[in-house]
Amino acid sequence: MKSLFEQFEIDLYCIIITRFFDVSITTITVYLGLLMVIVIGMYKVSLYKATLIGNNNWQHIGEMIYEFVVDLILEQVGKPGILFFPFIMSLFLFVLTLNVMGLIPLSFTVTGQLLVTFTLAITIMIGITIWGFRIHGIKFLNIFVPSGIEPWLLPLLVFIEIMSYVLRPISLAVRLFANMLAGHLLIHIIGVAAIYLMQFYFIGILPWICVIAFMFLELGIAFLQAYVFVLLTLIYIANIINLH
Amino acid sequence: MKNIVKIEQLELASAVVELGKKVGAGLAAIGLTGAGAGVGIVFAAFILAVGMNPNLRGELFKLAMLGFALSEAVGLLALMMSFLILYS
Repeated sequence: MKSLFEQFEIDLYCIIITRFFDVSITTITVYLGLLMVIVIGMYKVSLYKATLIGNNNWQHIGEMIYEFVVDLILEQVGKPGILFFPFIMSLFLFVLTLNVMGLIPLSFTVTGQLLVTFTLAITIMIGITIWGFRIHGIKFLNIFVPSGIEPWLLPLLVFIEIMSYVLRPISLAVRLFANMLAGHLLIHIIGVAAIYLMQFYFIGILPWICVIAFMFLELGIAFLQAYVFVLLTLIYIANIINLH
Repeated sequence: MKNIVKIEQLELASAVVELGKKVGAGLAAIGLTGAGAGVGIVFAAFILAVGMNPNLRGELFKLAMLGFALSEAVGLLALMMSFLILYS
């Protein structure tokens, strides 16, 4: 039996090292390229079919995702948040497509790497912090000062607020990463158990039904984690716009 | 002559390290009980709220899913700790 973590190993396909950067082609690069082809191709097909026939399923899928993201933004942030629509839409499609692509048997889960999720989360947090300084100026620091608090309690609460602000990218990254890792390990363990139980003919296909049920659970988790990632990003953006 | 380490002692030392890793990983997974209780509370509150006011089911379902994901992620941190102890 191979190691439990074999499915998370990154293979190196082609080594390209320039003077300043290491741009080697690895499994992650290949899957990101595949992601671009899938998402852009899906929307191209949807647009083509919409102009050709109109009112078909491809168009419905595209519009469904679009309206879902727009409703989410209007519900969480309100009107000024619509500025973030392209970013939130691409973030949602990115995380969702990578999660679902990882569920194909024998494939690789890009969001199961802490490297990828942490880079994504810390880029988002740095970006919206800079944006907050641009719209509020130095008043942005009010985000660390809760209102309606007695003065002697203030230093402690400011410290807690700063800690919670700094720990946000870590919690955002580890949530997605840990869910994907634990889910795939669970499927691996159940699958090994099912293969082992195949030698007892009287059990029948019961283990495989169990595997299929866990695959559906993982499909639900994949959608849910993409939704939660986008939702928490929007909550952080709303927090910065309203300053408590 | 005091500084000589016998091969049995080395084996014993590595066996104690293995034992410590396995026991530690098992103990770290105890934290999942809290996550289980948290997920149960989230869905119990959701069912109760829908029973009281069935009209709000759609909005409450979104909130319940958010609470489920958040509390499950906290439990998975304990699982991460367990894997970290076991495989690093």
